[in-house]
Amino acid sequence: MYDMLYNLINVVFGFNWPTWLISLIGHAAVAAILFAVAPFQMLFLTYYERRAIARMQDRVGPNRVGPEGIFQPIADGVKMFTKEDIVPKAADRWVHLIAPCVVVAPTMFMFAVVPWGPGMVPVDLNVGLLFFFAISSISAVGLMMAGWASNNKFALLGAMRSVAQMVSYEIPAILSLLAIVMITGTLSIVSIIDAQAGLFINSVDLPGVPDWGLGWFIFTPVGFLAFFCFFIAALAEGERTPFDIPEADSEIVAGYMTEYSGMKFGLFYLAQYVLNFLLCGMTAIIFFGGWQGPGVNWLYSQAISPANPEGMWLFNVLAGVLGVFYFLAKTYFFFFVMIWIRGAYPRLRVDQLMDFGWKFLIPLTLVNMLSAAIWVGLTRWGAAEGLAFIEGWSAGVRWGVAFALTLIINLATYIMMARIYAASQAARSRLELEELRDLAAMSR
Amino acid sequence: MLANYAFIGIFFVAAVSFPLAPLVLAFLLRPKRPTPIKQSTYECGLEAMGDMRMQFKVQYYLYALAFVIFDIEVVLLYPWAVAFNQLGLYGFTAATVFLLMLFAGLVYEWRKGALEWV
Amino acid sequence: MLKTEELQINIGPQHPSTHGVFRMLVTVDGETIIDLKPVFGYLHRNHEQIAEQNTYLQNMPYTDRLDYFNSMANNQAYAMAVEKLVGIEVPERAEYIRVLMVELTRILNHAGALGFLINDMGMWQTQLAFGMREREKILDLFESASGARLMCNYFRFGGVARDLPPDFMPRLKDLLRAMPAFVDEMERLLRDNEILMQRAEGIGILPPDLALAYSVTGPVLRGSGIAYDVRKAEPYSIYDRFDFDVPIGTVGDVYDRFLVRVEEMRQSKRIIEQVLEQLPDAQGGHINPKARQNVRPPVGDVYARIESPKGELGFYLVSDGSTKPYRYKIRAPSFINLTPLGDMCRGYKVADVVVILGSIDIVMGEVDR
Repeated sequence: MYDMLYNLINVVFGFNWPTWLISLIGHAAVAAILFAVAPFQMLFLTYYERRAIARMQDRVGPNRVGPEGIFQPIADGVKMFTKEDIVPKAADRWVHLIAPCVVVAPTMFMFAVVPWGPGMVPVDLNVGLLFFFAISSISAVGLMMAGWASNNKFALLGAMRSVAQMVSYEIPAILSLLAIVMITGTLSIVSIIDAQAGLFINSVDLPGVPDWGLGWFIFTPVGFLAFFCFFIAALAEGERTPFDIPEADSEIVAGYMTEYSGMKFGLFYLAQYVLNFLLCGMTAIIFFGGWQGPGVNWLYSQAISPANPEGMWLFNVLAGVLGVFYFLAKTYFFFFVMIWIRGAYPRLRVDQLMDFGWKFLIPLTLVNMLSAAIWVGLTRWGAAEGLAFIEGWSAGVRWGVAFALTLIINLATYIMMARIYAASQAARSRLELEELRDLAAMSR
Repeated sequence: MLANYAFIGIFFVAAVSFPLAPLVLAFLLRPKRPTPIKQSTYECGLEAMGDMRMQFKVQYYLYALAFVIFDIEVVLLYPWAVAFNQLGLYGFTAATVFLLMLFAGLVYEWRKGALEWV
Repeated sequence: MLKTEELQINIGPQHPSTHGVFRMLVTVDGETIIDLKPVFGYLHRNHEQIAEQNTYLQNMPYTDRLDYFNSMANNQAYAMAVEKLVGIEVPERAEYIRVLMVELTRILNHAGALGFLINDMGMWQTQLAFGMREREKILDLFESASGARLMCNYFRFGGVARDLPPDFMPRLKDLLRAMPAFVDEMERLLRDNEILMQRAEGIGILPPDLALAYSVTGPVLRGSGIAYDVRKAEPYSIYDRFDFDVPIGTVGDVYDRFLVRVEEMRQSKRIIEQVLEQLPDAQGGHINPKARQNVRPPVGDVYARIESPKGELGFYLVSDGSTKPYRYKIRAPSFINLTPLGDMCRGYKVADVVVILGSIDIVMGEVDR
């Protein structure tokens, strides 16, 4: 992307500006564009969610403002701007003001490393994945600030719930990603996408596979289990049903947002939708190849890129459009799954949520890392790494053995953990039953 | 590669200033008519009883402790995972021992009841 | 362990899930409920005193406003009380129509109540929307018969206000044909939904002895395993002619109350089918032509009770021989079912409170009369 800009300025116009200046201008422009697009992305997501869930509930949804109600989110935005900002007397004014900023800023900052298409990444950081999740956990601080500053019982309960939840589900999220990192051997998000070329089989594992851009990690047992754990953890991180406990409207009104109104509330809302968008995007990138799809790699190979400075700019545009289309289609699909879950499941209770994270997801992700190690060992290693016995196997056989072995391990672990978890839940509810009977007897 | 972090800085500045624009715009647009009732703390329509800031039972402090342990584990695992391709059987064994120790810790916590919501 | 303070929270009166203006004064230790005190009276509107200023017939539409979900059932209890006091005969056909209406009311009440219960669990109105859709179909029938959807005011002393319109029966048959699918879907939603089961099983247990001590009635009592139903215990109207079962629960938790309601919808459908069979042969018109509506009952008192969808609904009337009741007292099932809420919630989490409250199924119009 920046090469195109460089090409445009120095070759076409002949200005001969230094590289750092062009990069600076380019990054500033990209930041401006992304941050201008993000709010609209969020507005569209609210509309999309309301319409989709309305269909599930036998309703129409917003349909008055503009054709098919498409301008409804804009009307909502105008309302946010013109609504009075009420700060309770008992609240801590400044912390109350800063909290939404602390929540929004990290979510926007995370856009810096998200690739949208081939060569279309704001900053290709070599620790992109680490950066993404490190930044995402900052917003927990903002939520706690909001709950504490409001000096409201519901707000504080909601804030404490949300922090506990974010903290607990960060571990399974990252552990499930580490399995993928082990396979790709990089933390750069761009390289993770590049590693997903191929056709149902990763072309790194099996050379000679045609490159259709379909070698997604979801097609491997390791990737599938990692996706399963990661998506559940993403639901919890994004505070979506069934993990929307911090803002459970039927229990604690609106959680940490209870005392917020006007634009401050709007910022929380924005941060939440943007975060959900990014988490869906991450799911698409890491397990479903991001912008990878049939045709993109071929188009990009004809385009201007560091590897091919002689390409045609038209192919840059085509590859970009197709790549962004694939990426957004996948992202919106996952967002739809989130809406779907919201329409079909009640929320968990806070203790059940903690149990699920610690007693089910974390052991599962730990075992999945073992599977990933086996996968890497069987598909890539040889005598040099201490696995002399697979030297003679062909790549296909290696891949097949790795697939079967990891599938068996993951399936067995899943079934075993599900049993253990169910048993522990049943034991606990029985315990509670006896305790409650005693309590009821005492109270009489 | 280090230059990338300078560009990240651009995004940092943009991200921090991003929430300010709507807040300032809303500040200019919105009405300001505070009244004592409006500014009272919401407690389902009643006067708030007592202060919220008190010594409150936070059941998940054990979870927080466990989180710290696991987060450190994750930090140690990141470089191992990145370099795993080249590490060979020795690296694998070492990390497995490390993971098993943590897994044993998790099982211990579980059996001790530290993961129960009391 | 550090010493921690207990926290008092008001859940309600202005709260999204208290089903009206109802207040729960909750004492929590962390997230666990230590004590819960139901506080009501925010919707008190002097119903009983106002009713004593009205003539007997003027109170008929006024009973609609008690439990606005089940105006037909309220009408029936009140009409039965006055008929008993004055001694009015009700023709057979009118009785069938009454039973038909009240059983339809039971179905619509349970459809709505279960929708609200699942909504309280956090399922964002999906089930509520489907429950309401079913309810609307029944309300359409009510509209065609009585002219009103919610405040039907359909019953009169000695019968009902109007006969059924000609298209009522075919529409009812259509409705009954679609009904089992809806009820099955509702039950499947609970049985097959892991999260719903976790939220409902073992929550809000009301032991049978405690339920009896609080004189709880209706699905809440039957969920605790006591097969008490006024329709069976003291058959009024023509309920002795119908063949139906009284479903009971085993543990007395939210799950049992849910299942009892689902099963009651099926049983109501059974009763309605029997009504459809027997109605064509019924004697008499829709109202006793000799019955005066402007009644002046003899001096005396009377208590009449029915099994309303929410429990035992009773009207106690004292007459001093004038055209207005001297005393008019309602035994409101919602009110009495609400009293054990504190005992049901103690020891559970904050999140369970709203679910337990939802499983009791209250209407504040009836609690605060």
